[in-house]
Amino acid sequence: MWSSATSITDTKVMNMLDFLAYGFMQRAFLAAIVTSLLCSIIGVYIILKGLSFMGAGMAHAAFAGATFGIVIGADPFIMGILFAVGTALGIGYAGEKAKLNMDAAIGILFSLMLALGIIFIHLMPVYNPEAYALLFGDVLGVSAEEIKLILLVAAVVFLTIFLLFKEFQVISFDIEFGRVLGIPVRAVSYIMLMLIALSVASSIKVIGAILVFALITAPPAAAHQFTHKWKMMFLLSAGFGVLASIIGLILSYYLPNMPSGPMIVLAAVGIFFLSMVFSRKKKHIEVMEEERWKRTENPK
Amino acid sequence: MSIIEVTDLSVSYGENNVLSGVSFEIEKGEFVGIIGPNGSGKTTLLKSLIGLVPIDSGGIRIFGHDARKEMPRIRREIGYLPQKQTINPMVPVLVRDAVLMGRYGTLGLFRRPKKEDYDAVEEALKKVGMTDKIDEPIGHLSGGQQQRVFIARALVHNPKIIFLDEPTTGLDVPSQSSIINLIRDLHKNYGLTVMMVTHDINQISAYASRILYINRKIVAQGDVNSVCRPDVLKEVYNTDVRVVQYEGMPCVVLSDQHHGHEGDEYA
Repeated sequence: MWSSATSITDTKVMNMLDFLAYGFMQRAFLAAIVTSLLCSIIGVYIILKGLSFMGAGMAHAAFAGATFGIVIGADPFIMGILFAVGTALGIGYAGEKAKLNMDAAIGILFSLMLALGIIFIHLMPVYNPEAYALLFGDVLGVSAEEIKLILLVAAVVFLTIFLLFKEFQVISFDIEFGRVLGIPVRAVSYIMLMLIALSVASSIKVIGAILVFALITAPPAAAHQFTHKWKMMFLLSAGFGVLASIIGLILSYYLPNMPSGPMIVLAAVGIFFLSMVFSRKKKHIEVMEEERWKRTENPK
Repeated sequence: MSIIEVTDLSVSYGENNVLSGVSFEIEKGEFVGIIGPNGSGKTTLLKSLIGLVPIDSGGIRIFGHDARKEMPRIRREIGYLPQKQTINPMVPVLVRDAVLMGRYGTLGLFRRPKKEDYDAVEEALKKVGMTDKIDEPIGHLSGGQQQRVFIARALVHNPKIIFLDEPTTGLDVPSQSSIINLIRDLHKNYGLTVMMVTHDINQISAYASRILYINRKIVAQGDVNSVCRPDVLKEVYNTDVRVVQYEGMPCVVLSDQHHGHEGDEYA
């Protein structure tokens, strides 16, 4: 009795996971999981420092860079990273000089990069479906070569976060106090911007330059609903990100003709809505924090 | 022996000269109140002493170390409570972690906090009477409690000097007096040298061993009784004030049409 029941369950599980028998599906899962880990972990800094618009700007720069790469025959992945890192440095520099409204500056850059990307697509002599996939993601089309590059970027980003964990914490929590401590705040801030650029740029093949926005904001925002602890925020965000990518991929596999990128985004946003419903943090605490924030801003 | 020696210090922001020709010395164990109107350079003075603001000319020596060359060593000896708390309330941080950040400067790059750092956090929270809040999220504390935590953060690397920039601003009156009592206790019980910027001279007149009046330069300095006089205050604030005696201490009141009878004219 027992053994037959177990074997029926086993068979069902086997059937459900049979798509993992395909090489391209294995690659898709690996790419989606690593990408969502990257985005959801770097996303913690992005949402806490209010850089999500900047992150989206970098993703569009990566799109412009990748399409430019296709036009000139260079590696789109590398060109995307170069464009995104360049944009990160430019935005960081503009922010330091603060001669212009950052929000407006990023908005202008954002649309400029999108326009450039589309112009580059039109400059391609033949229609290239890969180029449009950079906007909305094509996780099933990720090559083994691209996986290696994504893993390399992930290793660099995670190692840097590990090494600068406390410095990143200080510049997120209280950048002025970082200066008092003698932390090289400027260098650390630029390193953080570059990690954001690397993460979003290497994610656009999997999730798309437009949809990556959801993956850098929804998992950390959901995590923020549940914890007051710094390290727990990263663990929860990473967990939500990976969960979203797995659910999204399985949905796109089983639902007829459903694209994977938007499904991953739906799953991530769904997790975020559920987190709001089940949040342990009470509403009044948020209000209290908001009022205290106003008070620290305007002590008089 | 002087532990802080400032000679002919000048500081400016671009074209704007904020401090010029400032010289003073501070002895170990002093409680110095820094007083002056808005924009007089009080905050700039503290910031220049810990290297947050570049100096134009003049010299700063703290424990014999030259501020131009040995700022990391100087910072190890000084705890600093900035005027405006600049924390990001979105960041999920427990009181323990917030105070621990005060050790990061001495820990150095890439090093992880060890047991001695966590012990120092508990010790610092004990000093400010916040031991029971160690596992609370910082956002759940009241303004006065948060200020105690920030004082603990300034003390957690066991400095010998503490700079406090308007530590009671933005707090309600009971919290103000409890913070002032805490600072007095820290000064008395742990032998800390205190330099405190404040608008309210009456708040510290009973505790400060010396007052520095600043208005882009040092206008006057001395013990409370010798500098808390209408003529000196008029020079600092450029307005008439009265000084009355209250419980044996000079107490500054703003002049108005009605001359009260609550105390004797001091000068």
